[in-house]
Amino acid sequence: MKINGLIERAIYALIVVLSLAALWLVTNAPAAFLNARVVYQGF
Amino acid sequence: MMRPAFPTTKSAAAFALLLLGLLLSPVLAGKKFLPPREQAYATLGWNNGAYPWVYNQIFQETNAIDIAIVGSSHIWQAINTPYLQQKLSEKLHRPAVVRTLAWGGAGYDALYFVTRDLLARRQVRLLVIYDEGSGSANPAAPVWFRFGEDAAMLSGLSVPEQGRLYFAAVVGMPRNLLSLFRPNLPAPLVTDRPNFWTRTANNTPNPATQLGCLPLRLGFTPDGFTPRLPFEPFVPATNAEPADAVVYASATKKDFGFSTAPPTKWEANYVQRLAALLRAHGVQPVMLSLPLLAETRSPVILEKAFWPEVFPGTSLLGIPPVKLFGRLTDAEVLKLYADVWHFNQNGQAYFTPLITPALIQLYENQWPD
Repeated sequence: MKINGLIERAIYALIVVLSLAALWLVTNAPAAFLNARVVYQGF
Repeated sequence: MMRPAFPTTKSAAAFALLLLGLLLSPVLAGKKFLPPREQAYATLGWNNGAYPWVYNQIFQETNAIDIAIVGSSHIWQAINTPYLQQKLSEKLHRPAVVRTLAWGGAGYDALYFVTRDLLARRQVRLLVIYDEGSGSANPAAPVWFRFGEDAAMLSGLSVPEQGRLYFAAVVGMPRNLLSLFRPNLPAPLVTDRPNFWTRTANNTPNPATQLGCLPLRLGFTPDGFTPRLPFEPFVPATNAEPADAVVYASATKKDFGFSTAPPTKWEANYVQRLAALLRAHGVQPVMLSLPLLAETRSPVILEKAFWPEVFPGTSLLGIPPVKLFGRLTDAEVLKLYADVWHFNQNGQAYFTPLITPALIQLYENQWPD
């Protein structure tokens, strides 16, 4: 598939932006959100 | 030539829409597609806090609470609630209601949300909390923080902190939607199969049979990985007495040491919200100082912030560690702790009678009749 039309470019740009946003949200979150047991070392 | 990621523009567009939908799910669901608030608590089990008990206390019990002890693990393991309830009952000449609502993982966000949910449903005469200061979000934030009803909570936070909470809302969304279609039944408080804590922590009693508190029957471990010392019942012989407990006032300033570092923006934000919430309900909190292992030789009660300024109306209560631990050897002190932060059952049994008269006095100051 060739990327040439404006719509295709827009869609791919959106995917890149959304993926970066998701990546930022995930890396910014404490690991504890993803696995609540991590913080339980206290016990 | 490399195989294209998407065979057609349509499939690329569908993927973009999927990502967009996932990221916007908390916004799209709004308030309309959130299950009732009680469902947030009903999804949580025993292992990360006494959540089934907390659910029971917030959404099933309705009577007024004389003393509510609310907070994360330190306070969960520090106060023996049945003892305090018995002593308060004796003092008031009526059955007193003392409850602990506690969970694992610190954070003022969880303290704010649980206290808000509790005060919305039950009268609390005296609220006992401690300095939650973890500086960050509670691990159960995907449960507490539901964007549709609490989007306003994002204001006043930095962008990364806002992102953190928003991501928590994204993570919490699938469970919220599932709970909307298929409600979670509240977990039974007492079951034939022994409670999680009884099974995994050396016969520690079910918190539901202890009015919510956790008398943890575990010996000391410095880091959670080193094997624990064996748990053995230990009654320390010290000269500490209830009169050693001090409430912060101009006359008792010398017993307190305040850190000059300001609380983080995250902490300050939630402390302010909590202070406003308590003012609105006419509740004056007691902030109880719980000594960490590293503080046991300190002559003064160490506080991470000057709370009377940050949190107006708070009574600061504590026992100077040097008086509390007196002439105990280091090895004896270790017998009171499960790790460097938390008291075990020995520590709880030792600390509770020493702090109880001061808590009852603070109760009576506010409720003289």
